[in-house]
Amino acid sequence: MRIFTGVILLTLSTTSAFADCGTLNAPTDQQLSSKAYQLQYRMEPDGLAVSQDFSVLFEVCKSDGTAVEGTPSVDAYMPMHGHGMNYRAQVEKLGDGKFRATGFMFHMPGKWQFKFDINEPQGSEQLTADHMVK
Amino acid sequence: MSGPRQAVLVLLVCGMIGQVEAAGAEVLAFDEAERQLIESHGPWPPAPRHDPSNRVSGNPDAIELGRHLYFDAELSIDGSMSCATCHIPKTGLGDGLATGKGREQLSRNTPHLFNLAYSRWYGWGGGADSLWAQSIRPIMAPLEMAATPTHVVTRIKDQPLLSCLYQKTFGSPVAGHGEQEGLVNAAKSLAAFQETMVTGRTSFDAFRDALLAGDSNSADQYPVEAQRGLKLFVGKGQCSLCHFGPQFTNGEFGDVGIPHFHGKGVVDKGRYGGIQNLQKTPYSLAGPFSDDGTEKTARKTRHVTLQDRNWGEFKTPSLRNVAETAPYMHNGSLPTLDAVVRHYSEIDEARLHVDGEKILKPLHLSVQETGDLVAFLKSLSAPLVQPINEDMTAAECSPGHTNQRP
Repeated sequence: MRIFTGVILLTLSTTSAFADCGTLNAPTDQQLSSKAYQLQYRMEPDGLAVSQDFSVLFEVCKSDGTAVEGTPSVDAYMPMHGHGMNYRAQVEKLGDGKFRATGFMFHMPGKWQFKFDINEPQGSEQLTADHMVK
Repeated sequence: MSGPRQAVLVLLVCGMIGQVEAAGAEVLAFDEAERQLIESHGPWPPAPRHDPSNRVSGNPDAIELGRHLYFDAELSIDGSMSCATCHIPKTGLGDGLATGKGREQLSRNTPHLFNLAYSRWYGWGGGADSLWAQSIRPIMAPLEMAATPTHVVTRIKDQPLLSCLYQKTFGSPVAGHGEQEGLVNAAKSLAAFQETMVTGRTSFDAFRDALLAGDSNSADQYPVEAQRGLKLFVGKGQCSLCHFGPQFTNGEFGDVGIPHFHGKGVVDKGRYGGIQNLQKTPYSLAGPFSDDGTEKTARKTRHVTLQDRNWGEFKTPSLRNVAETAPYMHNGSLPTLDAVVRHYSEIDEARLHVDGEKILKPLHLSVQETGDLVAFLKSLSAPLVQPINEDMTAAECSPGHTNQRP
């Protein structure tokens, strides 16, 4: 599995190359990218805080601008602590490459890492993003 | 004593007092990271929280019914024990014993009941996801009150005051409800009463607020040894990572190297057993007795996942009023706060889960550091905002009488 550590861009994502996919592009949305995929996501409600339930709305587009076909999975992990969440997020497919993962709760302050696993017939990729939770 | 010697002694004593005052008048320097963590432990008290899964949460009539049920020994199958038998108001709402004593010796320490309105899970293993669900457990537990739904409903029906309060709270006599519903309603009233057990502001809270406001005149009232303990708590000790937030708990579970065997070959599954209970009990937020039509409160229950590391994990307790709740840990094996701090200071990593928390390391605290942490923990105590009214004689219930919050 190729692992890409994504760079979180806090600027507007450029979506012109993704005509069919890429409408999740609010200024505060987070963005990850690899050669094969472009992934945008946002937390609902906005922001992260310890012991708060939240969901993740995300969108995965292929490099040709079309929506990913399967349903990615999402989890979160504390690399320094050697454990993940006490909860398992469930991903709901919303269409047009969009998904909502519900059931997140970060139970400790510190560095948390989102892991988005994209599984398609041509291969699998994992995109990750780090967040400091205070 | 001769005059000069007396004078020297007086000077020495005055000098010592001067040193103590100087020490007490000191405010340590806290860096930005420390200040952020200190800020996260407040404000206190938090806004009142009513439980959406309990339609009588905050209802004065339910609180009064719950208060009477709490002290009613007839709620147990043989009239031998009430909630207050183990959760004794005068002993920190616990029993002061290492492990509880029901009909037989129990295997877990009796937890206190402070600030439960703000909890996420209930019980050492988190086998209940609401305060009303947790309130059912000891009523039905064979080694505790050993009651049945039939017994609880009959008791309420036959006791005039309970019967009247029940009807006022729920709008119809208990006989008009099914036995399961009657039991759950009794538990919801007990929960409404327990939600009133909120502790007041502590000397730590005053210090926190003064520190953040830059009010050094007020901040320096906080003993310097407690300040040093606080510095350890949010710094080197990393205690704040689990004992997080205004309640000094993240509300979740951890393995901290306390044995989970309580007899030859008898294991306390801890959180593992708690999740298993959540998955099978009808008394959960995901079950038919929750009053939360939005299902938001049930989200945690639906998403919690059973993992191997849950074996031997126990709830991270709140540290508010911790000095009033000895002995400590899920099995009451540590008699004092000093022993608890020394446990973490010399924690045996070989006893920890291989897939558990990686940041638990021996701190090797000095004697002074241990004393400082204990001083800080003792500064987290305050009496209940609303003292518990144990007077059952002044009770009244009539259609025209409205109960006030106790």
